[in-house]
Amino acid sequence: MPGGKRVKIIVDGREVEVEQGTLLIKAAEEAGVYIPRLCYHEGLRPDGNCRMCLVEVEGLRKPVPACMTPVRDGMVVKTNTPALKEHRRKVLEFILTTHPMDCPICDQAGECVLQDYYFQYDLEDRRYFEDRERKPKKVHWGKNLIYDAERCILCRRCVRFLDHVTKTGELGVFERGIQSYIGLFDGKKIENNYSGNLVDLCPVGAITDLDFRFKMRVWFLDRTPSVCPLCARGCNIEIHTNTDPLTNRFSSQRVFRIKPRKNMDVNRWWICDEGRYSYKFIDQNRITRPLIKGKEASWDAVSRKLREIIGREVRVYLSAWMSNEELIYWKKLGELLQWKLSLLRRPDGDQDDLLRVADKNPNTTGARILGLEEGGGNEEVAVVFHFPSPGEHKMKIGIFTNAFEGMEDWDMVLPAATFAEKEGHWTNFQGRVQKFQQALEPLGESLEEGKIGEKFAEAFGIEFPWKREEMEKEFLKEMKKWSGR
Amino acid sequence: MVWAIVKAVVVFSWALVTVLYITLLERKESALIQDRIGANRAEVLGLRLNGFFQPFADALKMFFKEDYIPPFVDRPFYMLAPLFALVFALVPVGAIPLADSVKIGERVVSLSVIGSNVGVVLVLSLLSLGIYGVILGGYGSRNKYGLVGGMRATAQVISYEVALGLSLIGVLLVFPSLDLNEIVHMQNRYILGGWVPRWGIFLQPLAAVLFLIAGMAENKRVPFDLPEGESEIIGYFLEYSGMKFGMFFVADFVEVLLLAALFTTFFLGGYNPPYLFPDGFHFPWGGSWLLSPVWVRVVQFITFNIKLWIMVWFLLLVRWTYPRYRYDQLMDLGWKNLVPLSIVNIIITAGIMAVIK
Amino acid sequence: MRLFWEAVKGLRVTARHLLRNLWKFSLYYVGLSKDKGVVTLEYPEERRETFPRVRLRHRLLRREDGRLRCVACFLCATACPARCIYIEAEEDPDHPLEKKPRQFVIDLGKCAYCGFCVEACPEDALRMDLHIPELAEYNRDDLLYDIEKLTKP
Repeated sequence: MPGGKRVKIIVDGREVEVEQGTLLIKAAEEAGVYIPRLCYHEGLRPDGNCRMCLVEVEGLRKPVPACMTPVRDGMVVKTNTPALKEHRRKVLEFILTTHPMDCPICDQAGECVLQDYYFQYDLEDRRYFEDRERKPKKVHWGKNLIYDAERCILCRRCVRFLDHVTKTGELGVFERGIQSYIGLFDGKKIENNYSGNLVDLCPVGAITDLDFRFKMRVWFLDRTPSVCPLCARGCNIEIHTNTDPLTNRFSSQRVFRIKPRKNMDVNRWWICDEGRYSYKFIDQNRITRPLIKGKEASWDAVSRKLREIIGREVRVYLSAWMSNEELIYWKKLGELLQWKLSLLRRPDGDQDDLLRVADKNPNTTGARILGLEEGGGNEEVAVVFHFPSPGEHKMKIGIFTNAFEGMEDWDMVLPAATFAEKEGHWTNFQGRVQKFQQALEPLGESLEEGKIGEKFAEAFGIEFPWKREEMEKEFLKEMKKWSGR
Repeated sequence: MVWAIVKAVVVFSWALVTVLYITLLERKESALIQDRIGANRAEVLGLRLNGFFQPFADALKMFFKEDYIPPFVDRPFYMLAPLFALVFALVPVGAIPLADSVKIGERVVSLSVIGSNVGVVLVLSLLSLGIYGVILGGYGSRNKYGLVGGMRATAQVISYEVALGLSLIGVLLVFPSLDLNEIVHMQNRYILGGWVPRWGIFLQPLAAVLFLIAGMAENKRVPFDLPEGESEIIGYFLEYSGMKFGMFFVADFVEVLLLAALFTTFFLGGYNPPYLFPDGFHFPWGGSWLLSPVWVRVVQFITFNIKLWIMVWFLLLVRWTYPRYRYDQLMDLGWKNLVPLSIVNIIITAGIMAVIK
Repeated sequence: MRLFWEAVKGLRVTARHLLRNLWKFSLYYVGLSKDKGVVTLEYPEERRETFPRVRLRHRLLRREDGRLRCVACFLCATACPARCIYIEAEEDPDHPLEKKPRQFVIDLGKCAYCGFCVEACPEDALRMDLHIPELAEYNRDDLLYDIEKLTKP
């Protein structure tokens, strides 16, 4: 409710001013007080079923759930009284009577909210020693989702997500009482494009990701903030990697999963499955050494070979996957050497009204700002970035990250670093310039595109070093011209 | 000539085998003193015999060890040193009479390799030559610790040489001969009613103690092991390995054998057991047990070995009992105690001799 | 002179040890006595009894049904200060416990025998109670103990 009335409340002695109608749990967060919650998620409609967030409000007889109570002017809230602490212990104990103690097996261990709360609020031994209720385990819900009803604490976050966010509504709660479990409606499978978010939403290990299952313990993962390159939305993501040869000894996998990062202006809390599961190209099927006519060669040999194009007509096909800095560097290099420039893009694809946009390139807007247009010519030499495009050229130099068929026919194939192996900025379809950070070292002998440009400049005998910060400033100047600010 | 070679082979084999077993005794004795068992693993045909074959195993190991010559050494000296050390320790053993001389036809064959009538002088001179091995080893290694070891050894041996020589003068006054065999003969007389033999140790007790101490110092073994100084400088053989080190090592034990043999010869009546005369035993209480000359030699040889082993045992006991001297203490002991005492011993002995005559 | 007698006293001490041990050990050697008299323990044949709490080589335990107790939770690898435990997990499709180790390797060349891995193990799958002190190989790689070596000591 923008522009609504502002009200003042007091949470644990701290005064805070929020908009009227804000939920207490959010208001408390603004005051710097964290109220424990299991079922509440700010991206979902409140449900108030877990009773973890009960708080005492002065003047009310009973504690109220903070996630269901809108603020009222002059409210005085206490979140940490002994009675509330005892209450939280009881809630946790109640959940833990049926929750299996298989944290060693469970993938969620380490980022499990229930685990954290147990250590924070409970730390009591169990008192309930009856047989646990047996429920379906390892249910395949479609796509990469595995559901374990025994671990489920029935917070219904998944149900609400599918009902209200994707509006597909595949899931519901079945049976009653202790037998209740989350299940698919008859004949349905979860096949929407945002299914992976259920794994993030699940506060415990009830929904796990087949793609990540048992691959790596979460506490060994390094988290690097980045931006998803798979469409022009530029969703904010976190790349989870492990390159420690001791904890990741037996696999060559470096990237283990992609998680969304909250950004209310771009992707809010979600990312699509396409972005979530398309990280494999970072580790698999990569070109790790330069190829000359399909034969592996060294960068020195490449430098020598590059001298052959001096004095010939060259067209450079820049790609919309390059960062702003790289684009402007190559643009300047092309102007220096009087090359013709054009733009390559991935063809447009599906879109929906949640996150995905049709443009499947992260930096089309940035390229347009720099005045690059799609097109081609029949120059002697072509330097092609990222996408092996058809085109009539005598000599074709490709700069690619991943191997493809017909690679041997190219005169030269240079290995480029993927977006996880370099840093830079992309401009998304809204015109937001977003930074992605380096999560990994470039694989093998691959280099970021700026460095490859430096090799070209060296071969031509000109001094034009690759300096990312300077290029960034240059781009921001162009950006200002473009946006008129 | 043939006899000399045969004698040399026999005597030096005997000496080396004895030395091997001195090394075993050293290990076993030190072990038992320290409440251990000691080497007992060497096995021949499934027999261990509590370490009986250990010396052979040690020798074999020594032979097959890598003989590394460091690149910086002074090669001629480095190569010569262990040879000197071993040869000058072994040759004096040849002068020790192991039994009485044998008469074969017209010839008198001495039962030592070098049947010299100046045996005492020979032994002493060869002993002082032994120091060359040590000093050359320390010098030729071109290693400062080796050199320090060699210098220490030189100073020590030269100092104690004096005391050693002077303590023997008293003995030579009592037994006026330089022939070792003759000295042994002269000890085979009996005093105090024929009960007590005229051994050096009874006539010259002070000289015996002085000789023993000075001898141990010559030996460069534990209470006087400054040249070696295991815990600090390793000593003159620091740069040696393999069989060259083995030669230094053996020389060490040959010197133990030599000291024990000399002490036996000078002070314990040599090869003669009490009451043995060239024709057999004549006991002071009247009985006698006549033996053929060959059997007499056999008994003498056995006796000599028994006395020798007792002395070796005693020397090793000393070696495993005392801690090392400090250098100034070492020099004090040599010059301020042993030398004056041996001079006093000479004066007293000479005085008594003059009075008796 | 006083020092001389002290020296003799010293000789007496060592000689006493020597003779007593010689006597006792000789009796023992020929089999007349059980008392060795010396402190030596002749190692390969005789062994000192280890205390129950001694931590030596690791072993992996199995459940009653023959499956490894280990569920590849990585807690031992996490607790290990020497970081010498390498695990790869995999799905165990036929067992109610969904996870099992595909590879479980302890680099005993790196192991500090602190026992944290045993304490960390939630499944009691790992113990250090083999009481085998010997650990010598010609090759460092032979000190990498995999599941087979860890289950069959």
